[in-house]
Amino acid sequence: MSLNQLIENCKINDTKAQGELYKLFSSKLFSTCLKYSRSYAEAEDNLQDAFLIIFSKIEQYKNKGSFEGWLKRIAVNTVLQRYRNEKVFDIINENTVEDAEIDIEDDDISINYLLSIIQELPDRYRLVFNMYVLDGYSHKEIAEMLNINIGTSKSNLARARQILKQTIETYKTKQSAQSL
Amino acid sequence: MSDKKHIDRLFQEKFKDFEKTPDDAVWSNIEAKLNKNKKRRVIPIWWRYAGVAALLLLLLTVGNTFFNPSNSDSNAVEPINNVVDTETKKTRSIPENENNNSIKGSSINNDTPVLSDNTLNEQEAHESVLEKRSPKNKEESNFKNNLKETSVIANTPTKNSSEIQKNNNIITNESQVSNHANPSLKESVIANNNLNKTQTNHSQSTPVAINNPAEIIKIDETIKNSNNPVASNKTEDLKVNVTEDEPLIKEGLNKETETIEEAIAKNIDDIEEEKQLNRWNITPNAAPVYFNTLGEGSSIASQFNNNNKTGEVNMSYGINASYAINKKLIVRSGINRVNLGYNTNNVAVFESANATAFSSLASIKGDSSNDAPISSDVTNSNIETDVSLISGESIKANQITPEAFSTASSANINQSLGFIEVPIEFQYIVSDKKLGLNVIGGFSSFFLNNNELFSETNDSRTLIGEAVNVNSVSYSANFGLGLNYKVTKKINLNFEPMFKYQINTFNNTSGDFKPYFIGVYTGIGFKF
Repeated sequence: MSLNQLIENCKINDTKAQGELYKLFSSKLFSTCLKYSRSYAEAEDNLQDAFLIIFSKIEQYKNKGSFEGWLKRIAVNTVLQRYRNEKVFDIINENTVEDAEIDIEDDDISINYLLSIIQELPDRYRLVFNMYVLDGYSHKEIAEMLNINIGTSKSNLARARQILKQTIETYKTKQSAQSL
Repeated sequence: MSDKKHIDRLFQEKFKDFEKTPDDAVWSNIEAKLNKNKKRRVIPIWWRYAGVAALLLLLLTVGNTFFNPSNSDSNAVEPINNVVDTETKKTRSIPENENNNSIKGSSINNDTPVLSDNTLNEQEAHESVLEKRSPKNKEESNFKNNLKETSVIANTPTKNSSEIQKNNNIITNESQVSNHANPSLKESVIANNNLNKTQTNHSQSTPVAINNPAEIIKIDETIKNSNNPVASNKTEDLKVNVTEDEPLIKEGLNKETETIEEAIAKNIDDIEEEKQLNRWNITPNAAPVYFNTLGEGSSIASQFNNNNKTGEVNMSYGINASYAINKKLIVRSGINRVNLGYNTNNVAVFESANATAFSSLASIKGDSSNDAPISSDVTNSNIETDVSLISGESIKANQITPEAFSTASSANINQSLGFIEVPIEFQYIVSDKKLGLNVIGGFSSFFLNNNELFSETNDSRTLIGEAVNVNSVSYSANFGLGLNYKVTKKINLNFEPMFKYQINTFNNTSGDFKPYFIGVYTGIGFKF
């Protein structure tokens, strides 16, 4: 069954097609949810909500643009919606922190570790970092989606980078100390 | 050392192909919710109806209990009376002290909420009053105690005047009877006890509770003390004890006794207020009105006396304000815009020069001031033609050939009148239930503000002029029935079919022209 056929079947609430669609895209969307959420459990909740929205809105998908991109946008928006409801966005506007030294040595750091430190970031830093660095949103788009200033988005990103870098470096020094 | 790279690159590379399979549980959850949603699409149809039905039911039940508490509560009163009796008897047989001990707590509990109501100023004032009164005899204190009870009873959640009355009587009777044998305080205590029983019987857990246990205990003691000595100087004892103990208690006790009077006054006010609370009522209303005549005459000309006339349904709208004089009688007034109209059927309308041959329509004035008597009295110089009206009946009678008429012979004359109506009406309330019934009578003054005559043929409607025989001020006698449905205490829906018999709308009508109109007034009343 082609993807288009699958989508069409999903539009008429075909349960089997919905299951197929889930199988095809759940791991990709789950990774997105994991990056944007605070924890594994929250990511599961977000994934579930995202798919429910996808199935209820799939008839609005008009085969324009990539279907995966469409799904991902819904997933991201689902997460954002959650935080919007929780009102985590009213962090005080920090001064822009210029990126000083944010290069880092690429040792063999596990993705699970990276994921965990992303999840530990404060909510908005995490969202901005994900959107800008990993999902290629512009600061303008981020500002609109999070209802913040572009400047705030930029400074949030800088803070996120610094925190991540520091965390990784401390982690590394610990590791090397252990290995010695 | 490996080469350094931008932190963004590090994350981008690592997460490029990052995928993670979620737990199967996630899908089963989604599946369950999807199925639920599918089911839900079927449900809403009856769900909505059920919701409406439930809402209606709720409204009705709430409304019923809200507005007719007497039905359910009056039943509960009977057993209470019995309890009162038995209790008093019992307490009489029991030795005094024991009796008091067993009862005190409850009696004070009942009093405490009254205490808390008082303001400091009032307390002081009351103190002085009590000081003056304190040396007086036992009767007064007894009386006060009785008062206390009544007030407390009155404060119980069952705010039904009849019930309160009953309870009052019973308690005062009881205490009078026992006065002969027992010291006064016991009376009050008994009464209190009764009250307690009533409350428990009602199974309404009163928000009484215990505010200040310490204080209550103290009051307990004072009561005990005051009860032990001879009955005659009870009040004094009470007073002494109070002063000896703490000023707090004194205040408390004073408050007790005093608030009682207040509470009674308040209570009476309350009861009265309940009746009088919403004396004013504003009702915007609208009504379809049907205008017609009782007699055979015509307001236009005698030649139309025998013509068939049909009333027209128009609208009346306005606003009424009413004031309840008492429970049964409401006087109301207001202002309404009312349009009336009726058709005189089977009229020949024609434009010709020799209209003089037929009739003179003295009651119609042409549309312009240039009232040249070219034809009879009807002119319409605006369109430079003469319009004549003739009754179809008279045509037949005169056997005039139809060729004389250029236009259709079966036209109507439509008379349309607009008034500003100012009614003054009395409403006698027959039934004041949830669905109330009342009889309405009164009169209205009408101020003419629109007066037009049209000729109507099948497809055209032409302004002929205005009637000159319509009085600018006229009156009507009004009768009607009113139904009102009380949605809430403040809002009611009114439905009033009214018959208004017009008295001097026209100053010279020919024949037996008795205009009237019927309106079915509906409105929403707001009480305040």
